Amino acid sequence: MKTHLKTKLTLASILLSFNVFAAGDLYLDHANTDISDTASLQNGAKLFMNYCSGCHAIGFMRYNRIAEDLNLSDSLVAEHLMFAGENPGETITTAMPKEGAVKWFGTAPPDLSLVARAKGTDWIYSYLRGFYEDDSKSSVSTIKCLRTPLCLTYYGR
Amino acid sequence: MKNKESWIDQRFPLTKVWNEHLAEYYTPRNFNFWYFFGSLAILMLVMQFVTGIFLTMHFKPDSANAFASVEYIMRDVEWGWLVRYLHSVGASAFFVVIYLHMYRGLLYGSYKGPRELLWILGMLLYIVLMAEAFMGYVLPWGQMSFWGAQVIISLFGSVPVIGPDLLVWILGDYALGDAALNRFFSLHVIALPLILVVLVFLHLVALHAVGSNNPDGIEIKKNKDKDGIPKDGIPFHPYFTVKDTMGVVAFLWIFCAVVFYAPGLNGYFLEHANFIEANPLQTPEHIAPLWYLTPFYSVLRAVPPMFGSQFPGVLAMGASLLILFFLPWLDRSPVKSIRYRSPIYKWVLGVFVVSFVMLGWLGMQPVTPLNAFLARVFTVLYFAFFILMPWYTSIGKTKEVPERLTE
Amino acid sequence: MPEQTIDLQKRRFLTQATSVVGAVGVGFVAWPFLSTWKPSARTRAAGSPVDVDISKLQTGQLVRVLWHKKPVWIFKRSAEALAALESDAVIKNLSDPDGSGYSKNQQPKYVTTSYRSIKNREEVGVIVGVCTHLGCSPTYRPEPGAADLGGDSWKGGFYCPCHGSKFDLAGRVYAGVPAPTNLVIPPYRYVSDTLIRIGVDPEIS
Repeated sequence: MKTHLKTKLTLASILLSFNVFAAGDLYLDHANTDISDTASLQNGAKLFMNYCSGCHAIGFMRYNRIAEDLNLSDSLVAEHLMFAGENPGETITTAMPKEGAVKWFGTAPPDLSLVARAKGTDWIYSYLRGFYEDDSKSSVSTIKCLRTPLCLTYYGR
Repeated sequence: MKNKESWIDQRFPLTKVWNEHLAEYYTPRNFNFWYFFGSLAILMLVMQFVTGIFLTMHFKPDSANAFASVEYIMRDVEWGWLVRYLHSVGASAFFVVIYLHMYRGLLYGSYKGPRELLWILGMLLYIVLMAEAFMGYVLPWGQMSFWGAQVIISLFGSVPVIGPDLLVWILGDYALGDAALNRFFSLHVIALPLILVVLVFLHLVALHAVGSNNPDGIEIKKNKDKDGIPKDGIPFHPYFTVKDTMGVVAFLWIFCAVVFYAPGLNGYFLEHANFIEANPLQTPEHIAPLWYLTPFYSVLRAVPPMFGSQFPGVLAMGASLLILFFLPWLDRSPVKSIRYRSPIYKWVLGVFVVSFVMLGWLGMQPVTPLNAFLARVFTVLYFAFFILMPWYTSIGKTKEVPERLTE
Repeated sequence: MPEQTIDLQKRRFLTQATSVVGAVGVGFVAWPFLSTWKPSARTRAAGSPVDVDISKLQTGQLVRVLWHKKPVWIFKRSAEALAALESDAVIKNLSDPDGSGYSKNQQPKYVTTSYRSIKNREEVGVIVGVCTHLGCSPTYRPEPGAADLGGDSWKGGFYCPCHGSKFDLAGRVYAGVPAPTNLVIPPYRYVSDTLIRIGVDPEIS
């Protein structure tokens, strides 16, 4: 009985260690996020609404939820994060029309509600920092999916 | 109180059932850690039922709304996130419990006569549970839901002659889509759960008809005292109701730790790709079922295409499941419990466990030449455990089995 | 095995203590599940206040909006209609004319008794258009003297086609009809002279 237990434990630990390497075939920078840093999170919300929400919706998130989770009052959120006269209970959508987006960018900018769960925080961090300018004056990313415009190369510097 | 009991007892065998199956059901007194998992399996069934019922109140089973309705549950429904995580972690926990429950059977020979039917009913439960879990995973309609279903259902298309028609019939369409989602919803929510409940009932009836096995593999009914009560038996209630309650509490500690602190378990319980809505035009990089199905997925992938068909792989996968049904007849050992078996058996069982676990791990990895080779090796070892069993259980020196329980 | 003497008191205490803790546990487990039935964030968002522009509302005209999934009437009453609401001819037909009986909780505190609207803005009525009997939406019958509603004794109001309940132009219920109480007045406020917001009380001035 005891030998089986040892075998199983050894195996389990080998397996768990294997899987750390088996998962990613992409080198990613470590994001080091601290979700208890409310000020940083509030800054992030501001950056997203000001620079990303023009094209990207986060359609599963509501304004009043941001207010509740980030210790902001509804009026602060209305003043700084809401630009189209929405109600605080509404979801965060984008005005960019899908057909237009496909014509102008080749694909509709995806909804980013779940990108952290689907790709991970390291991926987002590396993606945002991975843009550089090439000679053709469009922005290129070290990771695939490079429709996010030129402005992000400035963040990459 | 006494009057009330006899009014009911005159019309319903309440006290009789209570006595026969709880207060006077004599259970071996040496039940150990491995005997918690039957009652834990019942706990998990109730857990999945209750959480599933509450999820169904908010889930929308059509392909345009399914994914969004799950996010609705997670974010907008009060405490919806908790119900969802209890259900998703519960599914994996159910399989952890079931695998340990089955392993107990292997350790102590609980499948051997007169418990063959008990084992067969258990195996039927296992297969229905796998179907139930598979269909449940399709419902959120994420990328892994869609593509995992696509892969497994297209196996039906590989059946010779009738395959393509069978595939269209199952899908209700020419490809996986809304029609399949809706029928999987119905099967997952009502049809298979009903079958599970009936099978669990039959499983318990079969158990109580012959009495429980025990870690020594000794039949306690062979030694009864003058009142007809097994000398090595103690009443299930209160001894094992209390013991099992303690087991439930300990289990719930670990279960809740996962639910509240790591519900996705880094992609093992909730795969990352499933947080992207199903896209029929784009396949994710790695498609794998959840961990509890991967051993059989490994067997499927280990068999190369033959005669231009994937069907041999399907047959091998089916065989790897069905061979478990024959265990009571493959095992020719005169003793039940591993405590009295030959050293050969202990090594063989160890190899089997390693093979099963490695097949499980390999099923989660992409196919590389090394992985494919290893999968084939472990598939052979897996089948060897069963095919060679009549031989290696007949040779080797078994220990003398005592008359009475040793604890 | 030697026989142990059973301490019944200890056993009873342990059983009771475990049962109490277990019951508390069941309560804690049941709470989240029962809470899932509460209106979700999406429902609460959809229940937001509704704004109605009354700048073009004619006398006698009735506008319907949906608030909290129910029809709400916004309508303008003429001077004769308002006078009729205070006359004996109407009040003698009503079940609870001053709203102090069974209809005590059917309106916010800040609406007047006779007209059931905000003070100094009595022309416009704001009423939830759901009959207090079994929930049908009554029809608007503002014209006095309608033959099928009692001829001369009918001074204008609402008639519910389902079971025949009648209400005056302030939503007060007639006596002797199936509906038991006056129609509900929702919370509402004047955001400006021409904009009514249904769903929020007026600011306290």
